[in-house]
Amino acid sequence: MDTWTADIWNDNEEECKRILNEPGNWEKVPFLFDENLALGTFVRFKGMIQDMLNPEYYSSNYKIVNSENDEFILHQAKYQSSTKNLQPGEEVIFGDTLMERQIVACIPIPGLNEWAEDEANTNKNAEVQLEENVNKRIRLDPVCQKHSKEIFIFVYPEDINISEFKLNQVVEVVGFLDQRSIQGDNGDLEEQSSIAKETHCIHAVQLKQLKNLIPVNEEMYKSIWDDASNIQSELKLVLTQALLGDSLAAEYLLLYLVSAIYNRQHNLVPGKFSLNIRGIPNGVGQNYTKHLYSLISYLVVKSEYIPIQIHTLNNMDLIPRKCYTSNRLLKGFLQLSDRTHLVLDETDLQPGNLDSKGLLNFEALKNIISNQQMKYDFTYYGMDYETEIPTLTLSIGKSLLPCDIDIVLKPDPSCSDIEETLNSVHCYLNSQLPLLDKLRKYIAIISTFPFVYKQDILNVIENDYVEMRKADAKNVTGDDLHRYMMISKLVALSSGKNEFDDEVWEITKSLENQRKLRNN
Amino acid sequence: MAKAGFRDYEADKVKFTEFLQNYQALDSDNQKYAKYAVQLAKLAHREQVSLFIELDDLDHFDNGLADAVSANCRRYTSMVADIVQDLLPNYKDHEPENKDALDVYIEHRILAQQRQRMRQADENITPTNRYPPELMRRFEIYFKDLSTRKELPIRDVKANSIGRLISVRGIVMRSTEVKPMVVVATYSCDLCGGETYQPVNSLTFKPLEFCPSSECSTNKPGSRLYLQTRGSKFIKFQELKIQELSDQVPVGNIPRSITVLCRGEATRQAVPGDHISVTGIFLPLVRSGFRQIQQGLLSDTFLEAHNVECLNKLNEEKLGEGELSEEEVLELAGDDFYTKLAASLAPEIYGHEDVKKALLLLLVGGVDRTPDGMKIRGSINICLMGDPGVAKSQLLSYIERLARRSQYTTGRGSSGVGLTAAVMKDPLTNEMVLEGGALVLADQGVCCIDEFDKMAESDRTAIHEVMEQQTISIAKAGIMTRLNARVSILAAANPAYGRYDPKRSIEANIQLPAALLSRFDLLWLIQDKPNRENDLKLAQHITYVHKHSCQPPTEVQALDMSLMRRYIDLCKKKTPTVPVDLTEFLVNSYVDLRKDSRNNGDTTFTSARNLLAILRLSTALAKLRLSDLVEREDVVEAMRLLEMSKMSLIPTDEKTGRPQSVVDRIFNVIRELAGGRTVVKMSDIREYCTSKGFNTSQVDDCIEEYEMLNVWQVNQAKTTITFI
Repeated sequence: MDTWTADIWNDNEEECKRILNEPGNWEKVPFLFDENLALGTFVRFKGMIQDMLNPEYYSSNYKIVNSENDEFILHQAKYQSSTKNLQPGEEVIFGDTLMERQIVACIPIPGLNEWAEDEANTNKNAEVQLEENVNKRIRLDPVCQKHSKEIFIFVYPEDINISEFKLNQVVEVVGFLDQRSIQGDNGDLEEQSSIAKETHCIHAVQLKQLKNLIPVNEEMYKSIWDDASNIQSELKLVLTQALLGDSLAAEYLLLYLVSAIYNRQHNLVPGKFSLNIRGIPNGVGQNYTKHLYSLISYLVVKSEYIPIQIHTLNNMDLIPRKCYTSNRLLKGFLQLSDRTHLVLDETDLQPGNLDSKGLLNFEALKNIISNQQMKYDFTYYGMDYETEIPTLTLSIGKSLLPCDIDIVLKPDPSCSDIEETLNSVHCYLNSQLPLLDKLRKYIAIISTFPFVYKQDILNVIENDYVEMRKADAKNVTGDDLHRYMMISKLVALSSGKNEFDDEVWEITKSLENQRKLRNN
Repeated sequence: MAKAGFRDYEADKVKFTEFLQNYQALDSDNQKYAKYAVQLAKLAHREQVSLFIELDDLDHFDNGLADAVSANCRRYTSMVADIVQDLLPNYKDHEPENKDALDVYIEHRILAQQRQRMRQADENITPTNRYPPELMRRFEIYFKDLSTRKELPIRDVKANSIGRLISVRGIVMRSTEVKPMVVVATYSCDLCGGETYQPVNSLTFKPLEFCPSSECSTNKPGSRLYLQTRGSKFIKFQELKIQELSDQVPVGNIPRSITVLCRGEATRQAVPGDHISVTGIFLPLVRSGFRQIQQGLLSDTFLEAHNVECLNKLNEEKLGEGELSEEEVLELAGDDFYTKLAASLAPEIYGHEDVKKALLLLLVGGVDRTPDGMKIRGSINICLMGDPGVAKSQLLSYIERLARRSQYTTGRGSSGVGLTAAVMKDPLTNEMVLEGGALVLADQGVCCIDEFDKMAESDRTAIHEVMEQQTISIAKAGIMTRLNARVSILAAANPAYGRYDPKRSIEANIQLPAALLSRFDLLWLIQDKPNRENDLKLAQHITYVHKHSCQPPTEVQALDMSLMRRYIDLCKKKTPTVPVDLTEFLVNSYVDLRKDSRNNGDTTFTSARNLLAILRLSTALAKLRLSDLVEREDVVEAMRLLEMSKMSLIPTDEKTGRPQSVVDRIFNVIRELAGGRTVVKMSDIREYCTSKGFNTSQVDDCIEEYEMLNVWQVNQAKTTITFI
């Protein structure tokens, strides 16, 4: 496979496909940037779909004619973007048949945490190399600081059905490396020369969606599942420590970390879990929340942190918007792939004025939290995109932003030195690497296990709900039942149960009752 | 293009000549007339510039030909242009007036040609020296696509569309200035004085350098050519960029765009932001010279516009998804279609059938009437109130998605334009322009306003006018104007005290003036009260959703959104009238309503506006039945809805769920006053009840009634009551 080129693939497509799909072979394809790869070689790349450009039309074949003896050689142009180098006395004649290919812009996965990068073995060289190219843009656009460099993927509709892929999905592609300038627009000539820089492109041979970034095999799945309740108690311990000895808040934080959306109907998104931990001890706020975030980012695969302040809201480009001069979608900070844990830190919010941009940003955050949707700005209209970004809001008082579940933090008085407490958590995790590894995998996959509801327990729940309504109609609505159902599912799965039973229901009720008591 | 080489173009040419001269179409009076021959005559006399050939007609004439044209349109365009040019002299019965310099040039050239021909009849004229046909042409040929052909989404324009005549729809993102583009460049030689012509077919061209006349080319005297702008032919040229409409983009994809090149009469049809429908030929862009090498295997594509149609406002129907088909009508028909349609509104929201019915009527709307110049609106305004978290906003956003023209905004309005309109300075031209706010943009549609109670003061005054007169008057920055805002307003308001307090009046609860509230046809209080049966149903609904990850199958299957839309479009076309014999019934019902409201002293107000509301609602119901006449049942249902909306506002006893009478309410007040005591002084009761707004006779009634029921005893002197 190392020697494969586009021509070889074109000639022996069936054979190549067979070899590629043999177990283990896919993983052998070298990662782009891992090594210094020459153009035209067979490579692999992981990234998030950031934009989809207009299709491109190319001549499917061309002839190279030797003007001396009038002999010609026919070449296929698929998986290539330029003709072969010409020898003196040769001439190119382009074929008449135009074919199309879609262009997809991919960026390194935003919010991917350092440890997960190593696991997912995308090499850091990528970063370094990208960083160099990016430098110029950073100065122009402070928002796109982390990743703004993209790789273009050419998708051939006869091989891959691009309509199966959506924006913000994480994909892995194998194909032939190329380098070319992509012209977003064929408008002004001058404009082009400034924008059109040569970038890396991959002519895709196969493209697949990556559901999970950490490689997990069958065996691992089983061992995590069998050991779920132990891992859960370990994780609870760690989180309790991190939340200054508050075990109830730790329970909820755990559920937040493992939550995943499992259904979506219009405005109803079962499984969405936005948590607000309020009552962060005053004065130590900033430092504490940063430490807490760093712990979370140490556990989840993808995460992002936004300090909610007047300044950041007014200045950050959270919403992706279409730029019609370059004909590209400009990435907003909130263009994130599914299950990127977003931590919103409200502890440092001071009174001030929001301008119109700040207001829009704020609305966007609200929309994500309450509907898991986001309106991208296309100037003439907005378009809704579905998101799956679990949010955690940290605030001192009641948060400005909505949430599904809020809980007041009750730190244990014995935890006096916050810094030390959190450092000890880090040390503990680092000293037990196998445990850390398990915790991470547990968080990543536990909510993907199948789950069954039994009708008899559902009947119990229905009756319980009616009773609750009878007791206190003002404060119990359908939303509460949704929340109960969601929490019970997470409670069951997180302790390694794939069934809904009385015990789970009782735990859920007691959790919720404790939370309500505390919040009042 | 090469693939169509099997066609016999000579035969097609004959057919086209025949078609243009003899095709008969029916005019509006069903008279036959030669549709194209008439136009040819106009072209010949320079009274018309563009000739549209409708493929429908061509299909009627010879269906193979129409398909051939649509598959290889460019070739046929130039073929027809040649034919028309040959035919034109036959249709000329008088010399047309010369309209511009080019006409004069052409006339002179024709004269010169004739003279030249006489002089050197046998001599061959060099091709560049001959007049290219494009130079002499003052007409443009366009094709109109088959009316049965669907417009493609831009996404579906693919490589196999190249060379074909296609129609797409989109929103204009950018448009260039209209510029002149050279079609034939004319040069004159500084030595021999001869003219040379160069037809230009691409976007760029390389000017000729040497005079090709026999004199100059044989002698090579180093003569130079000069471009004659006045003698060249230019055509108007504009480049548009259009992008897919948001409803054509599949979920999770980015809208695509396409370049449209407009020439001649197709220019200046649209500005950025317009919705347009373009018919044109999808072509690869031919580049020459260095740029061809640079682009290598790639080629850019564009759509050469034949017809650009702006779909804003006037062509509203065109935006529709077409008529209902037979089976869809069948699907809709049935006795319960009213319930079915209502239940299909926001199916994910459980219950609230009556609210949904009201919203359905809002979408359909009543009929505008203008008796004696007075304008009575037909659009229905509804205000939803209620405790937070009762799905008001979801209902609003669903209606916004369903209605064809709609705007969603909040009372606070995040944009600078706000609800009404603003005068803005255009950054490019420094001109003052009027920019419409949500109410103007939703003209002839629905404007959903969330958080109605939090509206800015300035908007609040404007909305009075909108809700009755359906216009907005602007007097700002020297601009005085009146904009149309024929909207139905669907408002949602939160109670002022967090929760709706049934003991207070609506004005106090919503903190909006009565004048504004009375402009709503229906005010609805969505409250949620515990009710075993409903609660259990809701619980089952929710558990089902979680268990099966889908909506439970309801008794009535929710209808598809586009089907709903089309049905509503159909309803909107009707204008039912109220028959005379129904007026008495209407009047009587209204009088009863007034009587009731006086007797009960309720918190809502019954005014003449309610009568109009009943009229509007019943007309909307008749429209919904696709009937031309309002029937008694419609009025009854309208009354019922009004009654239900009033009921929702009247405080009800939490336990029984039935409305409280005055007596019951006074009893509750007295019990509240008593607290734990068993003996209460009569004077205290009187004082307390008066402060609650009840008069003494009502209090006496109450005391008497409950004495009869043995709830309490009154002492002889009537100074104290004792609870039993």
